[in-house]
Amino acid sequence: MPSDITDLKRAQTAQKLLMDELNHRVKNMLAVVQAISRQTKRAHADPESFYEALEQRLMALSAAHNLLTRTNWEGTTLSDLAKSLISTFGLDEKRLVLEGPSVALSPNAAISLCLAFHELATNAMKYGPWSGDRGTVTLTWQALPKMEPPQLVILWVERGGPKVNEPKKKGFGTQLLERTVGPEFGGAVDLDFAERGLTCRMELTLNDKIRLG
Amino acid sequence: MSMAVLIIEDEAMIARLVADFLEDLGHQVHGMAASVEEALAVLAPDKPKPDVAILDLNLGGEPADPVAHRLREVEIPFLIATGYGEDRLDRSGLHEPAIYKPYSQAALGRALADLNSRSPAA
Repeated sequence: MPSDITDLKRAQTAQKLLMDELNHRVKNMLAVVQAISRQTKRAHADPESFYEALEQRLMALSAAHNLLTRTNWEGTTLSDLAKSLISTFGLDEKRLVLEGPSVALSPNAAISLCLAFHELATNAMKYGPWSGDRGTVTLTWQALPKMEPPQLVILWVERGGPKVNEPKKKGFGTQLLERTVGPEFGGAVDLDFAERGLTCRMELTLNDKIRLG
Repeated sequence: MSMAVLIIEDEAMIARLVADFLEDLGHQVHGMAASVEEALAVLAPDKPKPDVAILDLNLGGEPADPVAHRLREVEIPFLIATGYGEDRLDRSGLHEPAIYKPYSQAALGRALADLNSRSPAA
């Protein structure tokens, strides 16, 4: 076969593979949107508030997508993910204090944690330290490689906001954090609605989904 | 008939959705596995067996073939749930019934009923 035809065939095969992958990614993302819509419906009887919450979650998903597109869907880092909150929520950098070692996240881990941080951030904007002009969130993480299994502990600590009341009903955010993110990463997520500010503590297992470096 | 269903799916939000679907359909969630390794651990010989399984073909970038193989070995009927198209499935050489993402609760209910009626154990 003349080489230009061989090249054409090869290019067509590569394109078909690429289209298959794209299709797979789009269909999966639609299923994630379906999952988010259904979970959101549970907590919102009123269509206006349902829409507002759903839209915010779609924006979180889009933020995760942006981060992953930058690396060709190789994953992202915990610090890049946290920094994306600053632009999404239009924050002054001083109001989100970040500290921790370099942690790499797989694409699936990035999507789940991005949704989780967006829930916390939305809550901070509505009821927490970001609802006024002075409060801050300190987000720190620490690896405990000697634990069995090795762990990553993430702390989201809100200070300087209005007095906190524990919500009467567990919404999507709480469910996502406690029932999805905890089990997904072989760990636990604890939310403490203390009067002086919310603290969210995530204990996640370090493995190929979340790793140092 | 109510069945104990093992969900093998790497995307946590989707696994949660499928669990909700199953509960609404009157089935039980036997367990969830997000990787080939986790799935094989749940399907170890000393563990209680699910009635059926729902298997995502791609688990965190890894092909789910070893899990499909084990499910056949221990004779657990399963449904392939995938975001890939039909022609890709044909090429993968798997002959189990498939359901394509995203799918509705009703579609899952029908697929599980079909699976149950064709399974020799039923």
